[in-house]
Amino acid sequence: MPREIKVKVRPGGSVEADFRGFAGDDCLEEAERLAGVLARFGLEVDPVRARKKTPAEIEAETGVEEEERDRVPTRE
Amino acid sequence: MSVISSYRTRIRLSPERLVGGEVDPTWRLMEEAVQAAADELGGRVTDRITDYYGRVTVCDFAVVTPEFPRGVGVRVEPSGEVVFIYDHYGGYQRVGAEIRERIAQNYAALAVARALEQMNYSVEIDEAGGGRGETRAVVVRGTL
Repeated sequence: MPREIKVKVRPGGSVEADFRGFAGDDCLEEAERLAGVLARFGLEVDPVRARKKTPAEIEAETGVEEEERDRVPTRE
Repeated sequence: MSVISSYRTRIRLSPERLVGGEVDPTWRLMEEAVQAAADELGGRVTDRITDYYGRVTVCDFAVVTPEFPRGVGVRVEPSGEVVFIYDHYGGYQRVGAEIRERIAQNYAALAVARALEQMNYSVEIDEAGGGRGETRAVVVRGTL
């Protein structure tokens, strides 16, 4: 699946960024990288909130149902 | 993991317009943002605004529209901070705010597009909403 960043810019300049196709914490790293490049273009960004996508949203994007995984029991 | 993040933004230009004899990229972006706002709102770009009494204030950039002939000015402080100045006295609050918000929106959209291009994404820009009673959003999509 290709990686995609969809940024919705509202009047006044507030933005909502939707990171698609990133595995693990890659999207957080890419968000930090984007913030750094934006600062060089004169746009400072302050995170207001971030939420993990719901399984339904992920399924709608990828067509794959996200598996619920149980933690593997470990021996103390 | 995929996430949706919301951000507040603040525009801060280079304190100097000319760097090494060339216009700094942040100032070029602001020129583009101001010109786009003027085109979208049927106005023009100038370098001055007027107040209720007809007094003139010179700015770094300004947009004057038929709906708000006094205009909205953009002044860049020595720190690079951007200040919007206009006189909304007499019922011009909404149109003044609309021009100010449009300039900031265009600047943010252009900055996001340039940033994604620099990160090697293929970039497309679209508009969403903007119909009657709808808020206009600019959607910048980068694909890697």
